[in-house]
Amino acid sequence: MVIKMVWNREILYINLSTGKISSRTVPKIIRTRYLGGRGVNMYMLFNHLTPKTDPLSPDNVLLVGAGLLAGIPCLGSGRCDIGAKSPLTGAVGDSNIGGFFAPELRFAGFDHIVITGKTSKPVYLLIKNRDIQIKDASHIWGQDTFETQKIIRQDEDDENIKSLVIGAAGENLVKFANVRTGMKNSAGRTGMGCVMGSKNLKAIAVRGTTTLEFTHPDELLEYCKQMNTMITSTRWAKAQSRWGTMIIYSNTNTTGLIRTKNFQLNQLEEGQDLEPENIDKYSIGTSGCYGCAVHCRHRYVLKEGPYAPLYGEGPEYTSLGAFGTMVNCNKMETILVANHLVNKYGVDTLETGGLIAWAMELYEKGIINDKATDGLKLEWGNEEAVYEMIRKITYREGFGNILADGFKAAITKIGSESKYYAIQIKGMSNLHSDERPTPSFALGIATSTRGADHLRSRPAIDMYGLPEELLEEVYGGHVASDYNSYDGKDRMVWWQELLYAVTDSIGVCKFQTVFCAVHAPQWKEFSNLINLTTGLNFSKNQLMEIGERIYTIERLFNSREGFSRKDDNLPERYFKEPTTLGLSAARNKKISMEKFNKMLDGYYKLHSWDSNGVPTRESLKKLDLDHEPSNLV
Amino acid sequence: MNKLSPQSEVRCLNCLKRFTVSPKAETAVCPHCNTKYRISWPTPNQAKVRGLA
Repeated sequence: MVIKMVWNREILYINLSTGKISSRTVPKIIRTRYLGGRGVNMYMLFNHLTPKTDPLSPDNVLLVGAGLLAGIPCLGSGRCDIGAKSPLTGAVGDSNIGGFFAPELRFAGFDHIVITGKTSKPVYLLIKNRDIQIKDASHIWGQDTFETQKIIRQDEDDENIKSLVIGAAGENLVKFANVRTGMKNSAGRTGMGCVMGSKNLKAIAVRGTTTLEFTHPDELLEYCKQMNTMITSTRWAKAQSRWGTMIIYSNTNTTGLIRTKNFQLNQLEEGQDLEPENIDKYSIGTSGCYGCAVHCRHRYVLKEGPYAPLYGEGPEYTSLGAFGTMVNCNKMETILVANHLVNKYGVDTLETGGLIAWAMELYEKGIINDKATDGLKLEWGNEEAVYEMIRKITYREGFGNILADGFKAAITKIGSESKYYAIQIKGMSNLHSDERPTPSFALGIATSTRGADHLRSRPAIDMYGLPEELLEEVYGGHVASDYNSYDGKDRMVWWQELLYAVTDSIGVCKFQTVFCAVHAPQWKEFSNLINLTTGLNFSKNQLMEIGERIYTIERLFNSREGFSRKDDNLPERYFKEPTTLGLSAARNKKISMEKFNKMLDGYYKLHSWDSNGVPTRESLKKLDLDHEPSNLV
Repeated sequence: MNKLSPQSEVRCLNCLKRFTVSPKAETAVCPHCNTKYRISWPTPNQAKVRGLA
């Protein structure tokens, strides 16, 4: 059976409370306004939820969406978007995951899954083309994320099944539990695994055997080859395919752009062992996601030590910071073990590392003591304490139970004195990057719709000192070349937000866009790929408008939940404490509140939002958002 | 297609200017600002800054 790429794709609706299953085709108006993946998910999130819905109630909706281009042979097109109201922040919950699940879902004939309700006992969802079952999961409840996938494959006697699963953290409703697939891929942020756990949904398993029909298959194949050549010829991709995203550490730690000891330093001074080159002695090769020519993921083995034998994949740069610089651990083996543990338990690496680093600073300052930590010595560099805290958070034991609810709840429980040291925005922890020398990065984490987050907008090319003529060509207006400057950085962040909203909606990897190389794919290439794949035509301006619509409906969701300009802010320390280490461009830097606010004003204007960050009536009308919720799907 | 600079060049993280690294070199000094780096090679022809020397 052949299924057309766009017009026969369906949305699958599953009510776990009643067992009712239905489906319908994605209407063209939704495609042309939101594309797929994150865009369609965010439309449905706004439409399906009533304001102030308890994120852990059966009324929260869990949305799984394949990108519009998922399944094409380039740009890492295996991306899948998972959405819900976040139990961690109360804002937009949204996390994007690579691997092979999204194409498999499309091979089964579906683009989106909308899950509501809750079962009385653990279940998993099994989708085999049009055969959809809600199956008992009592035998896999309690299993880790690796074993769960293995058991489902064994039960169904099919090695090609791809699953989204939760681990113990999701089962225990840790507010930042993630959703996992394969050995390494995680939808880590905003607690989507916690929402799955609240529905007693252990896994979504899919096997599809139908064929995707492309509109212009021969031309598409040729164009995908060009895209792969373009990507693999960049210096970035060559280094990334050798050492993964850990290569970022070489620049950030050398320069002094990496948070160390929570937020006390901006460089790990004895950090040579964390250099990506040191993964070589543990690596047995690399692998990649669907449609990826880069292969940035190491497969590693620990043969010696108390945690051996251990097999894992990654680690990403995120884990290098979360369990390295942030907690002042400077051994690669610590990263490999901690990375394995968070993956096994299904808990977000960034939130976990951020909370542990915060707790270590509170411990150092005497705000918490041995009694609070159940006797655990939360001292800098204590790797055993890091491993134990990961376990305690996952199983909600003792002090781990306090951290398991995230920053907002933990601050309330520990006391107001702890708040100053928490590096979080809208209740979500930040990546371990230190944005004090880089105003564009600082603005991006402040304005992100899902809480402190680099993946909503990070303009990594700001770090390259590119000629301003080239930057103007890319961003459509003046942007200063100097990454210390505030000039034009509002435009940079706004533009990147729109691009990444579309990137997440077509389902390709951000690392294969202008994220990392100025000549890497962006609007023009996206437009060409969409046309060759689906026959739909979008100009650059139309795609930018779609990006604006997606970002604005996320903003509307957050406004409805009470978020506004006051939440688009940075932790106090960014304004008060200058950096102390690193090269001259990174040393003695802090964010100017006056310049930050001016930048924020400019950013709101570019979005056509009012001075409080609320979308105006005119902007909503222009984006066809003035009649939301419209309940089209 | 890409406007790529020579692969044996690296960008100095201090002054952001590019400079060429000798083949197989393990260290290099930026001729513009004298910052000294350790160098690694993701591919035999591509240099990369590893850290400060």
